[in-house]
Formats: sequence, structure tokens, C-alpha cells
Amino acid sequence: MEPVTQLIEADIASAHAPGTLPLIKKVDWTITRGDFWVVGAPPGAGKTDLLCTVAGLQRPSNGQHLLFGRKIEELSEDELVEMRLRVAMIFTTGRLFNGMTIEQNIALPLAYHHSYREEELAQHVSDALSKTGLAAWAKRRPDQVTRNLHQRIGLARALALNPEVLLIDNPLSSVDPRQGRWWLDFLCELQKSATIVVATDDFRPWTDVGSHFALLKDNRLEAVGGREDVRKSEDVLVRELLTSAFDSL
Amino acid sequence: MRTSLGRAYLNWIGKIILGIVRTLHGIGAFALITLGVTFTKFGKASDLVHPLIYREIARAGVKLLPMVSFVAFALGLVVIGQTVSLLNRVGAQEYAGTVMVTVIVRELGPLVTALLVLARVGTVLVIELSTNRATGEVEALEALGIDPIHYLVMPRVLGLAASIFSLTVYMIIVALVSGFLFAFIQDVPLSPGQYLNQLAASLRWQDFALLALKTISFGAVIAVVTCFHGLARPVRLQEVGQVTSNAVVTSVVACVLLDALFIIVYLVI
Repeated sequence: MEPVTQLIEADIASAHAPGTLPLIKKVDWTITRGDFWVVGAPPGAGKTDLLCTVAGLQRPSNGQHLLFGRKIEELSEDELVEMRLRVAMIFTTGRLFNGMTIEQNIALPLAYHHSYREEELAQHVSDALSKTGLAAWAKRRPDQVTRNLHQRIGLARALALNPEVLLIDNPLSSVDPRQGRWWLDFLCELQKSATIVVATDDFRPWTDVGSHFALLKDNRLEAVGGREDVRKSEDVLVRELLTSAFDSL
Repeated sequence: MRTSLGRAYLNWIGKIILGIVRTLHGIGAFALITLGVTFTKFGKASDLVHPLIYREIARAGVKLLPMVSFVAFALGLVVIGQTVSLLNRVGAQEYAGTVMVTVIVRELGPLVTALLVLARVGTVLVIELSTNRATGEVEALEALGIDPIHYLVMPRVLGLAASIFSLTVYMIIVALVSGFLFAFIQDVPLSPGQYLNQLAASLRWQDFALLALKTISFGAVIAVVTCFHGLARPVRLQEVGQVTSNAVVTSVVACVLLDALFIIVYLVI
């Protein structure tokens, strides 16, 4: 198996501005093709920072970060862009472009990176919309659809670029149970063709879906193991993350 | 007591100077990055990015035509109204064209146009970009492999530069015509032919070159400064108003300093 992303003995200071305290300090993590990682941590522990760093959006202040076997600090700007297209980051709020319709949101990165003809572009957008069940909202702007759907639109926008790794930040945090079910089913299906990393503050819905589990604890990433290891774990934080809501899912 | 007050005053001055140095450093670096991106990526994703330049020209240029027409008309009246009657009194009406060229073409035309564009478009631009930054849209662009400088800044810099240049040329023409109309109404003994001859005699080729350079510089400076304030630092939604205010102050200071630099160039050549 080709290692997709390696974070080896990394001391990651994920601060945006100088002087901000690092939320991630010690991460030793190898993500392999086909994995479905579930990273659990309480809110505010630094899950988003961890995913942003893994995606190459933030550079670790210390340590080594390999994307597809290449050291991130040695990549040229063009190579980094190429890597970013292979690793998609899907933010909790979707981070959509509010002045555009949903189909324009999806078309933007496609139009930027590929010189598609108008019909080809429309076809790619339509494919992404129907794959994620969003075709009915295509002509609406993000503020005209429920916030429940924003991250799903972000997912559609990322999928249009055919990424190999999807880093999804807390996908069940602001959705109703029906939407939550959709996410779980969709990611189960998607796992056949992509590597997935989900950050969550609730392990429970993921225990039948994820293949590898980890904890972000005391600013460090600790592997928990597979599904059975999570269920049997005596770790206080794991127990806490397993007794949260989502009983209905 | 006096010593501690003096120290506090010095600290305050030191903080201001440091702030100015940091801002200048940031704007300089941002301008260089923008210049680099403009040269290296101008042709990239042209179907997507070039229409943004045209949109910016429409917003900062075409839509401002009515306001610029009004201000240019008023400017022509004021300058001619104040100077021609004075020149007439001392029998020096042959200098009307020279005065118009010096005041309108070299000084007021470019500066007033730049300040109008800053007021109408520059402020909107900072609000747009800082809101984009605050809502995470800029990070989303980066995550999608889209260079925010290429997609957000370059079209605005090129659009504003082209708009201020075109609007200034338009403003100068309207001001010169309205100035002559006012002189005509005031029965100043100056024929259209004489007026045009005076203008032609006062204009040198350097005026055209420097006018182009000055207006394009104004546009680029306003766009870079406003984009810098909107994008360069993480902003919260509550800070958008303050950021806009800072951007306007910095842009006005930058334009006036640039104007002073061009005055020196006019004096030297």
C-alpha cells in the first residue's frame, strides 16, 4: 500500500497568527489508501487545525509532513496546488461562496483548474449535484437553503475535483438525524473509492463505519485501534465520546 | 510624574511608528506578491478570471461616470470661475489654458478621480474581502487550490488601474469643456480656438506619459492597500468597519504621497 499522508513525529503549531498557542503538539500518523479514520476529540481540542495541517493548508512549525511521499516544505507552489486537489478539506460550515448559487459554487474550482467547455463543465457540476442529492437546490444561493445542507454542498464541491483523500470536519455536528443517516450511508459507499478522515466529537455514529480510530488528547494524536478496540476501550475520553447523543442513528 | 508621562508619550509614539513600519512592510510584500502573481498567472484560468477584470472595470469605471461627470463639471466651473476672472483683471487671460493644464490635467483630475473611486469602490472592496475572510471563503479558495491573490486581488488591481486611468481622461475632458463654457458665459474674451491653442501649448508629451503612469499607479495603490487590509490578516465580522476605516486612511495617505512624488517628477523634468 502506498502511504498517502505521513505525519511523522511532527510538532505542529497550527496557529494562524504569530503568538497563538499551538493546539496540536505531537502527531505521529500514517494514513494509508482505503483507510477510514475517525478522529475523536471534545469541541475546541484542535480537530480543525489538525485536518487543515494534514491537508497542507497550514504548515507545521516543527516536524515533518509528507503528502503522497513528498515533504510538504519541499513542494513548489504548483506542486502544492496539485496536492491540494488530491486532498479535499470539507469544513463544518461548508465555507461556501455566498454570492454564488450552489451550482456556481461547484463549478468554480472546476473552471479554475480545468479548461472545460461549457457543456462539459455543466455535466461535471450536474454529476456532483446528483451524486450528493442536491440537484433540486442547484439554482439557489447558500443562504436560501437550510444550514443542514451547507457541508453537503461543500462535499459536492470537493467531490467534483475527484480527490483521493477526503478530510471531513465534524459532518454530523449540525445536521438532523435524517441528514446524519445520509452522511453515514454516503461515506460508507464513498470509502470504496476514496480514503476518508472524519473528525468528530462523538464516536458513536462512526463505530460501524470507521476502520481506524484515534483520539486528539492533550494536544497529541493517539491511535485507539479498530472498531472493537474502540468499543472495548477503557479510556475515559473514549468512553465520553461513546456516550454522546445520536442514539437515534 | 513628569518622567513617567514622558515615557508613556514616547511609548505611544514608538507604537505608532512601529505600526506604520509594519503596515508599510506588509503592503510592500503584498504588492510584490500581487505583481508576481499578475506576471506569472495572468493567462491562467482566463475564462474565469478575465471576466472579473471586466466586471471590476464596469463597477469602478462605467458605473461612476455620472458622478465623475458632475464633479468634473463642477471642477471646471470652480477652477475657471476663480482663475479666469482673476487673470482677466490683470490682463493675463492667455494663461487660462496653462492654469487648466496645471491644475486639472496634472493635479486635481487624477487625484480627485482616485479619491472618488476610493470612496465609492475602495470601501466596498475592503468590506467584500474582509467579509470573505471572516466567513472563511478565502480559506475555502485555498483549500480548493485557487490562489486568492490571482482570483480576488489581481482582477481588482487591474480593474481599478484601468478604471482610474479612463475616468481621469474623461474627467479632464469634461472639466476643460465646462471651464470654457463658464468663461464663455462670463464674457471672457477667449475664443475656443485660443483656448485650445493655449491648452495645446501648455501640454507636453511628458504630461500624457505621466498622467497615464500616475493614474495607473493610483488605481494599483488603492486596490493593493484595500485588498491588503481586507485579506492579509484574519478578521472577525465585528472588525470589518474598523478595517474599512483603516484602509481608507491608508489609501488617502498613499495617494497624497504618490501625488507629491509626481509633483517632484514634474518639477525635475
